[in-house]
Amino acid sequence: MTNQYLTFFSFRFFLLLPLLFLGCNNGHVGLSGKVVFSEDGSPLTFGTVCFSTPTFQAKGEIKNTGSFTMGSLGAADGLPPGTYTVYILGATEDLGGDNIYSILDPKWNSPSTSDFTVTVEKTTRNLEIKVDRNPESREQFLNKK
Amino acid sequence: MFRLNQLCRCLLRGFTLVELLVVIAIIGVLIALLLPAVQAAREAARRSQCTNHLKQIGIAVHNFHDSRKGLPPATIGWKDSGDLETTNARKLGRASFWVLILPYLEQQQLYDLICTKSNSLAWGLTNETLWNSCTDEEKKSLLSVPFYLCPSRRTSMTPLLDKSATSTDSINGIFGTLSDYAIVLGRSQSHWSGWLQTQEPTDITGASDVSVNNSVTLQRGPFRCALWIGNNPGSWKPRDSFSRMADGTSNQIVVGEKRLFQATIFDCRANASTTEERVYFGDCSILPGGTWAMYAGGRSFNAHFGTDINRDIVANYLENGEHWGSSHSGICHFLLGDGAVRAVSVTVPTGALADNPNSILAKLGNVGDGNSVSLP
Repeated sequence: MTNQYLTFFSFRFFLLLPLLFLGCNNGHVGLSGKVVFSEDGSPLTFGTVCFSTPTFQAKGEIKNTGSFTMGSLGAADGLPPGTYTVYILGATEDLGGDNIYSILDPKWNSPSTSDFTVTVEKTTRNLEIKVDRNPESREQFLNKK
Repeated sequence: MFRLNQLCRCLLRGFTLVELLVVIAIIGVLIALLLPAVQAAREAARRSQCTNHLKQIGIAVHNFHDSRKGLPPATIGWKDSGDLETTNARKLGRASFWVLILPYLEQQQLYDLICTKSNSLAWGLTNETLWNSCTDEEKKSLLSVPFYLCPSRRTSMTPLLDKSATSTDSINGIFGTLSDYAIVLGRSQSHWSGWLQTQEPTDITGASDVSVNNSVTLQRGPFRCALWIGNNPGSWKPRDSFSRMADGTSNQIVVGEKRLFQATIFDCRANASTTEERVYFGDCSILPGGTWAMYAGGRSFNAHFGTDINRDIVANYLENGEHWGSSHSGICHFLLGDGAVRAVSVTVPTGALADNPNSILAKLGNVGDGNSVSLP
C-alpha cells in the first residue's frame, strides 16, 4: 500500500508540475534594441522609443547606452507581434529661454511623419534603429526664432 | 459486522510518515498557489480605494459647481493687481484647484489655514512660503489629505516630515502637500513651454490675454483660471461651468493619476525654473509656484503614459513628456466630468492630436473638439 502511494506521488505528480507554469507567456515578443545615429554609429542616450498602431502603443525608454527594452503594460513586458510605426519621444535639448531643440530629424518626433515601420515577428529579439540628426544646427534653430 | 471490524483496525493502524508528509506537501502546494492570489486581492483592494479617492474628488468638483455656480478654477491666477504682465516678480502663484476643493473634501481646517496665511487666498503663495510659515502641527495638517493619495503608491505623506533638510534649500528643503492625482490641462498643440504656467487671468471685462502661450483662450482643458472681479485677486468667481465640456461630461477626462519617478516621490520643491527642478517639483500638489506653476498639480492631455518608475530622471521635461501613470499594473485611472472613474490602458495611443491623430487622451481631454471617444 505504502509503495503504491509513493510511486503515484513521486512519479506522476512530478510529471504534472510543468502544468503549473503554463499560461505565463502572454504571447508578447520580448524585444530590445539600440538607437544609433546613422552617420557615426554613436548611441542616442535618452528619449523613448514608441511603437505605435492606430489603436495601440508600446514604449521602450532609452538608457544612456542607447539600448532600450520594449514594454506595453509594464516597463519591459514586450509587445504583441505586428507592424508598427516607430517614433521617438523626448530626444530634445533645452537651449534655455524656452527654446527646445530636437536632436533628431523632426520627422522622428511623431507617428504621422515617421517613415520608419517595423514588422515584429515572434522570433524578433533585437532591433537596431538608425536615426538621423536634425539637419538644422542649434544656432540655425535659435536664429530662426 | 465485518466492515466495522475492518474500519476499526484501519483507524487503529494510524497514518504512516509518508502519508502525513504527502498531506503536508499537498497543503503546502495549495498555500503556495493561494499566496499570490492574496497579494493580488490586497492590491485590488488598494486599487479600489484609489478609485474611490478619485470619485471623492469628482463629487467635490460637482459640489463646488453646485455651491459656487461654476467649475473649480485650475488656479486663481498669477497676476498682481493692476498691471498686466510687467515683471516676473509679479507673477505670483495663487491657490490652485487642489486648494479650492479642500472644503468639499472635509478639509475645511486646512483650507482655513491656507486662507489665514494668504489673506484669504488674495496673496501669492508658494509651497516654500507656506511651509516655512507653518508650525510643526500645521505642517502635519498640510500633510493630512488622504483623498490626494493613491494607496497603491503610498498611504501617508508624513515621510516628508522625516526629511532632514534646511528650509531655505530650494533643492532639498521645500515641502508641501503631495498628490498622486493631477488635473487635466492642455492646449490644442503641445508647446515647448508655458504649458502649465499659472494662466493669465482676465478680469470680468475680458481684458488681458497678453501672454500668447498661456492665455486662457488657448487652454483646451476642462479647467481654466478664475475670473477676477474688478482686477482684485481677492475677489474672484469661477470662469467656466459644466457647459465648457462641450463633448459631453462623460467624454471628458478632468483628473487623472500622475506619473512620478521613484527618485522624486516625497519630493516637493519650491522652484521649477530649470528642467531638472521641474521633475523634482512633480510630487507637490496644492500650490503653484514660479513660472511653471501648474505643473505641480496638473498634467497635459498631450502627455504620454510612463511605465518605468525606476527610470533615471529625464531633465527634458516637456508638455508631451511621459507624465501620466500609476502604481497599478497596466492601467491608469481617470475621473470623467460626470463623476465616473475609468481605468485607461497605458497602451492606448497618446500625444497631441497634431502629432498623433489617434491619441485617445487628447480626444478625451480637449473640450469641444467634436470627438466623442468611448474608452476601450
